[in-house]
Amino acid sequence: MSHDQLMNLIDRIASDFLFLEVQDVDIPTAGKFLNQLDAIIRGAEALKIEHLSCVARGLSRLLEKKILDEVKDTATAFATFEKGITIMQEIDRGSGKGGDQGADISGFMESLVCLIGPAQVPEAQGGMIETSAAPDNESNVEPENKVEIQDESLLRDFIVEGIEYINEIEVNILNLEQDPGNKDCVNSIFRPFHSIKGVASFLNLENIRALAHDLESLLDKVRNNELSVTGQVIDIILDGADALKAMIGRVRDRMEGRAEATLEIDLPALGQRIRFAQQGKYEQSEPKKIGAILVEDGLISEDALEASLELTKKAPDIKIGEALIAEGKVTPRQVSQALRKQMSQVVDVTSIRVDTRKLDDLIDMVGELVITQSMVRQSPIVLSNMDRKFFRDISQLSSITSELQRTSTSLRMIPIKQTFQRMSRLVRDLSRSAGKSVNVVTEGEDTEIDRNMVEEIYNPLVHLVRNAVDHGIETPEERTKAGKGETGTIQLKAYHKGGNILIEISDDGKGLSKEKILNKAINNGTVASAAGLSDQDIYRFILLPGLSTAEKITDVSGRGVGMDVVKQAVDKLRGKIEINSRYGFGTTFVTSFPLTLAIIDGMIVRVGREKYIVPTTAIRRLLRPNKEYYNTVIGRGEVINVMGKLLPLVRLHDLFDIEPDCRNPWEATIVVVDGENGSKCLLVDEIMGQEEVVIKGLSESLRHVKGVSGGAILGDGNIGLILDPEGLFELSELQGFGGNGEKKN
Amino acid sequence: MDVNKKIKILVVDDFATMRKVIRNLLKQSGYENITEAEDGVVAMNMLKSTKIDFVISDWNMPNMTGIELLKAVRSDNELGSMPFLMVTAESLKDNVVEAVKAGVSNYIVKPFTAEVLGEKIDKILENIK
Repeated sequence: MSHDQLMNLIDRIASDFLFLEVQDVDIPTAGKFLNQLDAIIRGAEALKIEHLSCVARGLSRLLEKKILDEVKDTATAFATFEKGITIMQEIDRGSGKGGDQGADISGFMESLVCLIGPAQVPEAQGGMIETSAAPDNESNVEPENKVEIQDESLLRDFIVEGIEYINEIEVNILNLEQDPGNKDCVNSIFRPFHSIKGVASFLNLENIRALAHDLESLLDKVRNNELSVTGQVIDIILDGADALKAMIGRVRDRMEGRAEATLEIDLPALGQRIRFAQQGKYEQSEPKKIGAILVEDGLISEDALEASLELTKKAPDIKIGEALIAEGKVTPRQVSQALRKQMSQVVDVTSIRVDTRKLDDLIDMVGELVITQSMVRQSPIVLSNMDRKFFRDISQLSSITSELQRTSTSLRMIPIKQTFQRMSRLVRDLSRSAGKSVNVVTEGEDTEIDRNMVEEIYNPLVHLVRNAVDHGIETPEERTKAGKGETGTIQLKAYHKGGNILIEISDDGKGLSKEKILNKAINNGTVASAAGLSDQDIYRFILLPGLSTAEKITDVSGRGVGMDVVKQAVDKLRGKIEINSRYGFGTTFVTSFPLTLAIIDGMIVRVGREKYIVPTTAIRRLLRPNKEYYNTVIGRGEVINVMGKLLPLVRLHDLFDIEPDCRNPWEATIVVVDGENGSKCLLVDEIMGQEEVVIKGLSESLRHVKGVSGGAILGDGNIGLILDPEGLFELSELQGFGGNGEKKN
Repeated sequence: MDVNKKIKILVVDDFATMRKVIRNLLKQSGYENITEAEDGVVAMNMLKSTKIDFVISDWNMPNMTGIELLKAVRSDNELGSMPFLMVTAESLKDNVVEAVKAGVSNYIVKPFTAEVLGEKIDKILENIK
């Protein structure tokens, strides 16, 4: 830029200023001036006229302040601006003449300082001054800005859209973790927080606004490359997202007039963590306090801990452990165990985060590998090969593959601890609202279960826990009357048994009343009499629809739709429920779930040339009936007499339209399969064997095919469809084969 | 004044609830003729295809941000002088300067009342005349 051009620029701004209609600078004009000043600064720098660029910068800052409404004295600001322009003209003229550059600008700069504060006046050399978007300017939000638009429909929209946005954040954050430098990713996370903050501020949801604001500023730092994306940052953002979700959930609860779920999040602490993270500081996750460990282990109560803590405050050199021992609340051994536990927490666990989709893919591939491996092993070429070394290698291969399969499945395993904690919390809340005193004892929290199962089992388990609190545990008065302690106990216990995870939920409450259940069942027409029914059978009636024996219906359970829903949910997960109870002493529900949903233990059956897999959990027994056990009953169709019970016959070949080898039940094989409303007999040609297969979902277009829940590649490389008993039964009833309905012909 | 109230205002924000908030506030200030767009690209298309008198846009949006929309509007031959009110959050005040340099008519900081919004709009409309 030549000197003349620079002079032109300054003259231009001067004349523009002169022709202002009012003694004030409005926004569009300020924009124009700012751009002109930018050009002047660039020119002055190029021509090395330091004083000029210094003044121009000062004027820029003044304008910016003005735009932001941070200038109180508008008239003085206007005058100062005018003076600044004059000084620029003077400096420029002076330097143009090659004269003295040191025109006295200190007076002007001082008045600028008066107006906009010292820190804001840039030094001649300095670049743009950082204007930190300090969170403390929140106080600018004047009280009258609090808007009265607590419009219900707005709130509702906000809740729905807000939660949607947060879910979006959770998806995007995984991408960010994989590609920390991706600005689009950061933006896609920043934006939802920003939007939530904006709307929350209108709706007076101050906590939500504040948290969203903190998260937003944190991400802003990331966006501006002031902070790099680390695991900690991601964790904090995720925690923040969770907290926001919970808070929005509470708003919804409040709006729908429900009791607000208690917020288990320490908001100030979270805010603190976020602000620390902004400065690149991370709180070392503090090891849990000894007291907290002892409380968690159920050795002392929280109140007892509080009391002892008070004591230690008075005598600072006594440690909490010592104090507790001195008071006889715990033994020295318990304290030392707790100390050891505390130590083990400090030890760093080296772990990495992996996208679950990748894990799923891996496990899928390993499943394929196992199958391919067994295909190779079963190939005739291999079987006919007599080379011993080759044989050894093959068996080595298969042991490695099965080890690999075990390891890869274990990758997706997580301890059940979290689920238990959630349930303990629930018990606490429920018992309080029910006016009962309940203690939760957990055992086997470290038992692992497939991550995908955790969410699935939660709902049925929660229902059982609710029932235990609501119907199992008595009120303190009743308990005292029955000679029990006032506080009831609910025990949650998890352990592995034969490829399944067993979760026991027991209470020491009133137990199930066999008579009541039986009466209800007889009244309902479920059974005719108690003859031949074991205790188990009777207890299992409560799993049927419409058989709640609760006398009092509360808002949490007791509507008679509870337990059958639990049963359904457990069945869906291929799990089982067992009920043990002693009247007056409590009830135990033992639920058993497969460790993973990815693999199923199945019986392979053949019909004609087709092979199907029947889940082993659904199979009652296999048999070939005598000819006289096969009958046709009017109105019920074909039945087989199985151990004195007439069970409907379902011909698989008719359902799937296949030409079978045998049509007569006494020549074929019968698979007795359990369904929700009793068992039925499947007619198949042959049982081929039992195998663990990796479940493959059917494509979207086949998802609604009844009677088939998935497919699998069998050991011989063929594909088998996995049968879904419930769907099969429906299908058979629809077609009129072997159903309870009328027969087709 | 009454003529002003009939102007057609385009509200641009990706957050539907926010659009509704602004719509409600505008109604409180007497503006009835309101239309919406969920991002800058949609807004730009609407601006080109329909007659819009006033734009209220959020800053932070996917696809095309508020500032990009502003720049696109200002550099367009026909839309160049379109009144443009930028909605921003307090933590983004630095952005205001950028918007001002890009020729924004005015800006407004969330949260705001119907009165403040009305004032800002009136001020912008006055300046145009």
